[in-house]
Formats: sequence, structure tokens, C-alpha cells
Amino acid sequence: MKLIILFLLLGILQAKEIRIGFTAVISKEDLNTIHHLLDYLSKKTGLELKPVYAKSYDEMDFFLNTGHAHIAYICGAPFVEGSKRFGYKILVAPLSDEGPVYYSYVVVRKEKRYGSIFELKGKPYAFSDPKSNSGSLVPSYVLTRKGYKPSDFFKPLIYTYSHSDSIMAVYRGFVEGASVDSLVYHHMEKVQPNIIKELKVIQKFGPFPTTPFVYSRHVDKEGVEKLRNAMLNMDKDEEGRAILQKMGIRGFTVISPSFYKPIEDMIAYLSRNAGK
Amino acid sequence: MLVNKLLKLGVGVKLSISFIFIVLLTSALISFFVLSHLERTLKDHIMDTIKKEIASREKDIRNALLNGDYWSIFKHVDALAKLRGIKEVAVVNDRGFVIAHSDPMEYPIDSYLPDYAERDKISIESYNYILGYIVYKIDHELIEESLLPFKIFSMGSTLFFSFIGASMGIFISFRISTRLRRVLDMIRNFEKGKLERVEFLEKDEINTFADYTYKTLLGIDTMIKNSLFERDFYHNLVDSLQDVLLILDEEGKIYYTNKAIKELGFSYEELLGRSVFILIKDPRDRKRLRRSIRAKASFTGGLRIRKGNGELFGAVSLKPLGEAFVVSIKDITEARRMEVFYMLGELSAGIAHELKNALLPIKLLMDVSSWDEEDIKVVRSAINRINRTVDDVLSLAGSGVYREDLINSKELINSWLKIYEPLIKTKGVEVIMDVEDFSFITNKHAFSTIFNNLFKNALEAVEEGKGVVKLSLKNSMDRVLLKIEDNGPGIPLKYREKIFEPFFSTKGHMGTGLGLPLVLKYVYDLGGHVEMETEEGKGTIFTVEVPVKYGEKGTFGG
Repeated sequence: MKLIILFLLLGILQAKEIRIGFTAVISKEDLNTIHHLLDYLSKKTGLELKPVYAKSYDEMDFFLNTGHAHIAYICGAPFVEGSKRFGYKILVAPLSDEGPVYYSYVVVRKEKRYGSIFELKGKPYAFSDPKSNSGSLVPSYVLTRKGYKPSDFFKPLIYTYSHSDSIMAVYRGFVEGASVDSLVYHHMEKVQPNIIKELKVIQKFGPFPTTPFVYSRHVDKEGVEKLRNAMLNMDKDEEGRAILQKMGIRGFTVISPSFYKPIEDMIAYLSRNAGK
Repeated sequence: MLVNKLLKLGVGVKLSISFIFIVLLTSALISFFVLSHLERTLKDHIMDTIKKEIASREKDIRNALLNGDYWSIFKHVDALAKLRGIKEVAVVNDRGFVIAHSDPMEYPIDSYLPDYAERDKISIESYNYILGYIVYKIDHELIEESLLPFKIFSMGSTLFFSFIGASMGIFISFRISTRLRRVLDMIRNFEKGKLERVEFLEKDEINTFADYTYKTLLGIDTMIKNSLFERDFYHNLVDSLQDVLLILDEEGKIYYTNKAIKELGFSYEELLGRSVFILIKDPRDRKRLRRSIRAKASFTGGLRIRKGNGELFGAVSLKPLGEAFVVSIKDITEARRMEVFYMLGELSAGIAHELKNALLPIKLLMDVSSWDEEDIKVVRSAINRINRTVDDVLSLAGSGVYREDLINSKELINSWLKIYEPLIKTKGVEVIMDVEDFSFITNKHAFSTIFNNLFKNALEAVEEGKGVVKLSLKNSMDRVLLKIEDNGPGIPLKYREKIFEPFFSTKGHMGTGLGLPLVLKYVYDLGGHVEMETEEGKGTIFTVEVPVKYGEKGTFGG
């Protein structure tokens, strides 16, 4: 008992606040869930966790590098770039039904007759964040492979900086199509079925390695381990499972950075062909 | 026609119509103006709010436009379009091509917004360079709709208060007319002889009016009662008179008489509307009265008045009163008889006095032993005086039965003038004659006495050297008119009543005081009358009118 109190006191004394970054791209609608998750993890780890929000992946890179955020939930593509440039490490990756993978969906309104992304030539089209894998990198790669330049292919190409906004833009008819994260799409299917009901997925690219929680080199290693442990064991208790369900995932897992090789290849391809 | 109909309406209805008209007109007008003003203000306010809201986003939209951030622009557009009162919002570029429209299905990106130039819009500028416009459409129907409850409430309350106002108006106006009617009823009842005070709860002008009317009616009532009393009083007073009182119209028809008329054996009813002349017995009297009526002049004189089958001697006075005449008839038959007795007394005393005076010198000479020439002259004169007095008294007391003589007017006048010629000459009197030449039959002595006395009086009255005496003798029908006019001093007022009394003289020892009584006696005896007009300082006119018979000279047999 005395030991526990001592431990707690040490923990509090030592405890530096750990700030976890979220971008609007994935989760801005679900602040409630984010708070639940952080409260849950604080309770499990005894760490003081605080959310920070960035508008874009670019901003999040800045936050991680300046120590404004220690841990961040970012897409595979910015991770690949960040791991090279800033030494980001993977904390955990979410698990879908199919594993730590997801897809890039091409979404249009149900009544539209488009069969593939190529048929949307000259139409308004929504990407999410320019650095998003599913919402930007994948369709750019697909189009570039066919010799198109996305910014010329679509008229215009619109960045919404949020998968759910991209879905909304399609739903409202503001754009004819959008490339979105399959996890977000299915999560919305549960939360706002009336919107998804009006839409259809005409193309599916992937599977791609899932969006990971990463940490920068500024973070305390002990805290990282505590958090990783807590997150990996979330599916073991009732409260954790409830939060996971809200997030639309089954749990978290640890994956190797090499798992993100396909993304790394696409980035390399695109940077090679950017000038064309 | 409508105006006539309106004018015929009662006060209450008129007032009610006016009230309703005014209340509805004013409240309708006021509420119309208030409503339209509020509506305008509210609309302006809403539009202003909308414009401000749109303008407040202009900067963000401009930045998004510069960044090519279509989605942010759309989110602004979408948020603006969700504001109450805005129908649709679009951001278009400077050429009217859609960048974001609140209805993206209808107006996708890059579609042309045809009427953007005419729409309400706010330009998006950067250093005077127009990047595009925020075009919006205000939902007027929605504004109208949101104003509707307010309008309904306002109209409702207007109607409600109009109704209240009109009801009050109707109530007040009908109350006014009801109260006026009650005042009218009070006046009507007063006409029927019943006066009851009307009182109201409201102490206003109508109440004052009713009070005043009541007091006035009360005053009128008192006045009527007083005048009825006065009427009865004077009626009784007039009826209690012993003299007959008549009121005649301008033609001499009777329209009022007092009760004394019964004394003459007539009733008011049988005389009403008939001529006054039926009361006058003597046709000549009628003529005299008629003349006065025609001339609208006063008349005073003794007339023979019918009384039943007989007659009485009446002192008649006729005076014009406006268009009418007031006539009083006083029975002086008895008074006249009394007067004769009175005159007899006076006469006896006069005779005694005269004789005593005449006998005085003789009485004094009785003691003288021998009478000389002078004494005898005095005695002769006294005897002459006694003789003259006795003659006059005898004449005055004459029987009244006369001889009839045929007289020629000219001859008669000429013979008299000869007698008076010395007096006329000594006094220097101018005698102006107007004598018609005609013959008539009457008693010469009586007629001569009348003439003598009047002519002598006239000559004596005038001033020496300035006197003028006009002498006129004319015939008219069956009467002779003798008029003697002098320019003497006239008869003073105080003597006028007495000049016909015996032994009254203004001439001192010169006259016997029997001259004018003799004239009066003979005029009466001959069945005529004498009138005197006199004015102090101007002279006197005596007019004698006597009935005569006519005959040619020499044809009269006796």
C-alpha cells in the first residue's frame, strides 16, 4: 500500500504532461471519443494526457517537431515522410476487421453513373489532406500512373482537410467524387447512416497500412511504454472495448515500420513523376 | 338624396355613425401606418442583419478564395444559406461563374449564375481588385411569414379596440339622444300642462340644459298664470264698469264689448262683427262718428244711443288705438237732468246778482229828494240793464217752440253787418266772408241770437287793428253750416269747460255771461250742435250745424 502511494507520488512528481495530437482529417467530429480515450488511458497509465489539434498533417509535423505534441495520430503517408525526416516511431496501429489495414475509397453519390475515378475527369473532386494516404496519395498515384496530373485532371481539385468533410461534400453535391479513408467511411456509416445511404463506393484501392499513433523523439520512453501497454490491452476490459467500438476499430497492435513500404514506394513514385 | 336621408337621422344614429367612422378610420389608418412602418423597420433590420452577417464573412471568404479553398468557401456559403431569411447564397467569380453555391446540385462549381449582376451581392475585393461576389437571395416570404403573427395581433387588437371604441361611441351617443328625448318629453308634457323635472346621472351640459329648460318652463308657467290672473282681473274690472266699452276695428266693426252692453239691451254675441253704428240712433250722429273713424281721429260728444226700444243720451268718446278704436259710452241722461237743476240754481243766483247790481243806483237815488238830469240818465240805464237781463233770461228759458221764417243767407248776413259796421270800423277788423246765396227755413230769432253772440264775441276777441274774422255760411243737404273764426288770443284751457255755463264771463261788466249759454240753448232747440276749436295765441273757431228746411223766397206760406 505504502509502495503504491509512493509510486503514485513519484509518478505525479515525475509526470510531465504528454500531449497527443489529432488532426481534423480523421477525427474532428468525435471529440467526445477522443476525450474518453485519453481519460481512459490516463486512468490506466497515471499519465497526464492532453489532446492537441492540428488543421493539417503539415501543422502536426510542426507540432511534433517543436514538442507541442508528443504523440500523434497520423496517416501512413506523413508517418513515412516523418520517420525519415524527423525520426517518428510507431506507438500502435489500429486494427480493423481485416487487420491493421484500410482502403482508399472513391465515393460518389448513389445516383451517379461513374464507374471509376477516371470517369470523373474534369469534375470537381475532393481530396482530404494533401498528405493523407487514402485521401490524396493513393488517388494521385493511381492517376499519375495513368499519366494524369490530379490538379489538372479534376476541375477543380478541392482539399477539405477532413475525410468526413469530403464525404459531406459528395453528399451535398458540391463535388462529384472524393477519395476517403475506408475506416472513416464505415465509421460514418454507423454514426450518420442517412448520409452514407445516399453514397456509393465505386472504387477501392488497397489494402494499405493503417493510420498509426506515432511518437516523436521528444517524448519520455517510459510514458510511451505505459501508453502502448494500455492501448494494446484496451480490448481486454469493458470500458476500453466501448471506446474502441466508438472509434470503429477492434483494437490496437504493434507493427514494424517496414509495413509502410507500399506507401513509401508510392511517395517515391510520385516525387519522381511530379515534374511530368 | 343620401345627404337628405342622413340629415333626417336621429342625433344618436348620426353620432354613432360619426363615432364608428372616426374610430375605424383613425385606428385603421394608424394601424396601417404603424404596421407598415414596423414591417419596413423589421425588414430593414432583418436585411441589415443578414447583410452584416454576410459582410462579416467576407474577409474569410476572400482569404479562402485567394487560397483556392473551395471547401471553406462552400462551408461559409452553406452556413449563410442556413440563416433565417436567406434563401440562397453563392460565391461567384468576377465573371459570374459559381465557386460555391448553397444549392450545389443545381449550381455546381463553374456553372454560370445568369442573373448574378441583378441580385443582392457584396463584392469580394482585395486592394480594389474584384475577386468575385457573394450573391444572396433574401427570403421575403419567410420574413413576411415571421411578421404574420405580429400583423394578425396588430389587426386583431385594432379591430378589438375599434369595436370597443365604436361600442362606447354608440352607447354615449344613444345615451345623449335618449336624454335629449327626455328633455323633449318634459317640454311636450309641459304643453299638456304637466311639468316634471328631468334629472340624469351624468352632470354634464345636457343636465345643465335640462335644468335650464326646466327653470325656463317654470318661469313660463308662472308668467302664464300671472297673465291669466291679470286677464281675469282686467276682464272683471272692465266688466264691472257701468260704462259701455267697445273695441272696434278700423272699419268700425265691434269685436269686443264689456258686460255693460247688456244695459243697452244687447249681448256681446249679437254685436260681434257688426257695425258700431247700429247703436247710434240719430243718422246725423252716425255721420259725425263715421267721419272720425274714417279720419282715424278722436271724437268726443253727446250722442243719442239706442237702448232697447228707447234711447239714452250718451257721452261718447272714441279714440284710435293702433288700427283699432276704443269707444266708451257713458249714460249721461240723468247727469244732464241734474245739470239743468244745477244750472237753474246758478241761473237764479246770477239773475239775483245782476238785478241787485242794476237796482243799486236806483236804491241809492231813493233817498235823494229831487233827481236831476244825470240821475234820471242813471236810473234809465239801470232799468235798461234790468230789462236786458230779463230779456236774456226769458230767451234762455224760452219754450223751444218757434216760429218758422224764410231766410235768405245773403240778406241776413248783410243786415247784421250793418249793425256791427261801427264796431268793425272803430276796431279795424278785417272781415272775410264766404257766404253762399241760398234760402232756408228756420226760426229767425234763434238763428240771429246764435250768430249775434258768436260774431260779437269774435269781434271783441280780436286785437285792435290786427283782427281778422272769417265768416262762412253754407248749406249742405238738409243743414246749414255756420262757421265763425277769429285770430284772437284763444280760450285758455281752464275756461274751456265753463264757457257755455250761464253768467260765466271773461269780459267783466261788459257781458252778462249769458251769451254762449244762449247760443247752446238755441242750437239744441233747433236740433243742431256746436263745436269749438281753440288754440291759445292763434284763435278760436265756432262751428254751428243746424238742420233746416229749404224753400224759395216768397214761396214760403207761413
